[in-house]
Amino acid sequence: MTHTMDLNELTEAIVAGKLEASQEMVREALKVRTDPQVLINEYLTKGMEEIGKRFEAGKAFVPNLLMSARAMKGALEILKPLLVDEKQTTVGTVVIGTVKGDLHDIGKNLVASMFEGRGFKVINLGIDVSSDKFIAAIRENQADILCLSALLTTTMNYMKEVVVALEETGLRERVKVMVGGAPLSDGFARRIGADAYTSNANAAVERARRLLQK
Amino acid sequence: MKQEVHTDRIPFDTLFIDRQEIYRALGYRSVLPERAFRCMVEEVCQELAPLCKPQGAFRMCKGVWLDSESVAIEEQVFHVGKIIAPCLEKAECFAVFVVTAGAEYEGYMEELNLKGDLLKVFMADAVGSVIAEACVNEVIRKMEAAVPMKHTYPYSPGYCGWNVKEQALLFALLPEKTCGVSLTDSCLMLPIKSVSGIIGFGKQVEGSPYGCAICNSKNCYKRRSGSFDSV
Repeated sequence: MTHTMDLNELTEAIVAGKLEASQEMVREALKVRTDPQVLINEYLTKGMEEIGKRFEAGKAFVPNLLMSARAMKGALEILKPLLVDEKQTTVGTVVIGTVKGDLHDIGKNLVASMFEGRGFKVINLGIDVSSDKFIAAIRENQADILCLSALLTTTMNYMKEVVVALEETGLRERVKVMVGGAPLSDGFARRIGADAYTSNANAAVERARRLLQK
Repeated sequence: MKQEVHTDRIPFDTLFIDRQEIYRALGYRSVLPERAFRCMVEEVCQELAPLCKPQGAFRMCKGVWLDSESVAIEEQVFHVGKIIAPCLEKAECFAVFVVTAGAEYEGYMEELNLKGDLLKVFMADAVGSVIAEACVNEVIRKMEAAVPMKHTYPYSPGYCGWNVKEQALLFALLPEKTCGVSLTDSCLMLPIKSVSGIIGFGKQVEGSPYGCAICNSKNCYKRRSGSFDSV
């Protein structure tokens, strides 16, 4: 079997969300001394980008994204310890949580999973998170992005309090703020001073990447 | 008119768990999920069948339509909004209801979360939403048996422009922890997979179209569009 052929199959395995196959191919590639960085940048990431494109085109769905993200994470678990400088492969650090008063966590966890699958370091604070806890996590982890989630009209306004807390603690300029959740919109994000609103996990990752490029 | 609360366990096997609604909740609006995902949905349903103990309760209440945005139920004014109020105009009385997939469902979800299987958690969450909606249908069947009048569709705080904060007013019309459901300060029902709302009854009421046909909210996550291809 040819080397190139195997690695294209690795991309396909990520797209298909095949965890075991992806890990097996990564191990095989390492045996023939393929550079881990090349595996990540040219094959694994390509797979995640492809499934993201299919999702945006309506040809893949959230379960497909989750399967691919799981395969990607499994492959990265093998590769990351082999990298000279792990920080070089981290796209950015994301602190994510569902705001105080709200206990919904599924959507937020989907977003966290997609971030991990696309090479971000994710600090998932869970549900019912206060602004103090967000601030502490941003400081501790030197986060680049803060993702806030809410599913209720009664709790989404707490996002504004978090943004104000960021300003008061001098962190606002250092971190991009992204918001998401069923009752939210672009207009709401602008009103509370967030940098972006996205309606799904894939869009969140794409937007985060663009925000960090600026 | 009887004012007592009708509370019932709803046997899981009597619920119609609409697979298409589950697929819709998973994001499939016009195509069916792949076979592997459909099998996972079935697996979740089978695992829940012996565990899940859904409940439903309703109470018939006196009430009147007030104006284009509000109704009064037992003298409590509900600002249901311009979308819902017209649907309740001819109501002579109201049923206040609450249903839940139950604490056992929550326990099942906690176990899945601990295992870290996000895909299955996502599937089970969608199944839970459909279980709760199926419970609403069961409670409506019981209402129909008890109240020989035509009725409207169910309407819930948080949807179609009705502020979710009025959930607290609605719960005040029911005994505390009816069906084991409680309300947080942010008006979130616990267990999360619960539904509450009102239904108008009257000789002249009409079954108005389903919520999405009368509400233009583009951001509502329950928004319906598209249909499934045939199997």
